[in-house]
Amino acid sequence: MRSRRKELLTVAAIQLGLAAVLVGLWFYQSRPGRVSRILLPQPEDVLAQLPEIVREAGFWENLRVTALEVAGAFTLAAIAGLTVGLLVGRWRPAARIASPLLVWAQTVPIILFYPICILMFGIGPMSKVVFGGVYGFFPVAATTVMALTTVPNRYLTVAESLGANRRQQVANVLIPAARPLVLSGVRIGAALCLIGVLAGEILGSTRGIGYQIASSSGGFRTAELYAYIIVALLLVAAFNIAITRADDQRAARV
Amino acid sequence: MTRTEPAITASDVSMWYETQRGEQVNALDTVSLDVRRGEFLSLIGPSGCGKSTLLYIVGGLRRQSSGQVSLDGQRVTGPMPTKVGFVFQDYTLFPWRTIIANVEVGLGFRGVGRRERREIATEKLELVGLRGFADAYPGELSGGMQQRVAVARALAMDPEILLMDEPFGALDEQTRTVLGEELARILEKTGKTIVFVTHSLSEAVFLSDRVVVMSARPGRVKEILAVDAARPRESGFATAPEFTQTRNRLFELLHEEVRAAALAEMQSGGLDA
Ligand SMILES: Nc1ncnc2c1ncn2[C@@H]1O[C@H](COP(=O)(O)OP(=O)(O)OP(=O)(O)O)[C@@H](O)[C@H]1O
Ligand SMILES: [Mg+2]
Repeated sequence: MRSRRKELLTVAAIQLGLAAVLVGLWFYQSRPGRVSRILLPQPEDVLAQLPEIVREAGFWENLRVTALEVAGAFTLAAIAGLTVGLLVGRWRPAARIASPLLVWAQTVPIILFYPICILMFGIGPMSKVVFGGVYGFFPVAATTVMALTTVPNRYLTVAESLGANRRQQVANVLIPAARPLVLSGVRIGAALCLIGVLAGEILGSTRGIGYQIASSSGGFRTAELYAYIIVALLLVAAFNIAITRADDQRAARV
Repeated sequence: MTRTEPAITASDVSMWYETQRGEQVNALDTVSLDVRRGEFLSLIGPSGCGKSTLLYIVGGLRRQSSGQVSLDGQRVTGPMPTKVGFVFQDYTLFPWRTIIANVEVGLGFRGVGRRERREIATEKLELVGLRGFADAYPGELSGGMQQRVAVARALAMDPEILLMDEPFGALDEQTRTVLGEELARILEKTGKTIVFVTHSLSEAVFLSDRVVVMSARPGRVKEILAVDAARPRESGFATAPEFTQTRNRLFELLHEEVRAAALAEMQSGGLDA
């Protein structure tokens, strides 16, 4: 127990050290006479920009738009991915046909279809929701299929011998056995939803954090750009914490 | 139903499997067998002779190709969780449930309430000497302990018949002996009918009222030996002349079959091994 704690502390210390080195490098390289300010603003300028952009008129509205888009995309990806994964995974012939396709689809640069998405759903939030959702869909569906098809048969046999009906087998064996893998798929899907939404906003939008990133970059307002990137990273962190938290709570209840 | 009627009757049970490549494998060939109520019967035979298959069929988890099986004169058509309990060959505890929750799981399927479930499960865990591990997870237990939990899980359903498929097969000889003796002590008290598959001749002789020797595949009943020693049997029984005699006889019978199985495999196998 104690050595485990010590190990965790050491790991955390090393991680913090690495972060400190990065920030140190940033400080050093952004001093006058080194990398141009247009490319690399000074950290203190970026820090000063943060309250500025938060005070800006549209900030909270932009944050809200992005957060809603991500939530929408994630809902879409999770529901569609789990449904398709469940349908395909429960039926072996379908699994054999579909799972290679699902895995293969993850290597396709889905971003190629973004222009089509804008044509179909407009420049507003809807195209981001759909695009982010499609991005997140594939890992969720693929891992769900994999999780369900790799549940060891012996667990189902045991349940049968103990009198489980079909519904009880699904609820007490298939779902808990598949759960860890499915959740890791959902987590990857969530990360991809965020990427999809931000990429979509940066490529073409009128609102959102991604839009602000694109516009400050286009106007060479580099400190502001970095500040918005930090906001985006904070959003990612908050989202990840939320997902992990929900996951842990569900785990604790089972 | 009369008291003298056998607990299990298998008549002319045959089983054919179809392999992935579409070939037919004859796992069991017209196996006929009666198991008396309260009897401890062991099955031994070369690997692949259909011992597990026979247990699955008796327990209603698999359908035989021909012949029939009855329990108390009633035809087996599917699993009967309150009548037949299984302890499987591989480790089958649900790794996502605690030990106590694993023991309870069948009662849950049956709709037994929470309090009663916990009570019964605790009692059975106590019986196999693992009460202290109620809140552990299967991964934290040794193989032998996990199989004892599997025994408790089966006993929790209070079945009349217990089908045990090499429950301690993966363990070393010493551990197996100790666990076997302990198992005998536990099961003697419950008076259940038990069919027990094992590869260990000593285990079979020590625990059984009768030992069934099966032939190499396709599995048939080759011979049945009775072990008449009184119960409860102390560990001293393992050095008694009767024990050694029966064990040696089993060794001879089994040896012939294992040889036959190995030869058949070398002749037909080779290519597809
Ligand atoms: N589901 C199955 N599909 C095809 N063949 C099977 C199947 N299950 C068992 N067999 C074959 O049937 C034969 C008997 O198998 P079984 O598992 O009953 O043997 P066993 O006596 O329990 O062997 P062991 O002592 O190794 O556990 C084997 O040749 C096996 O390959
Ligand atoms: Mg077997």
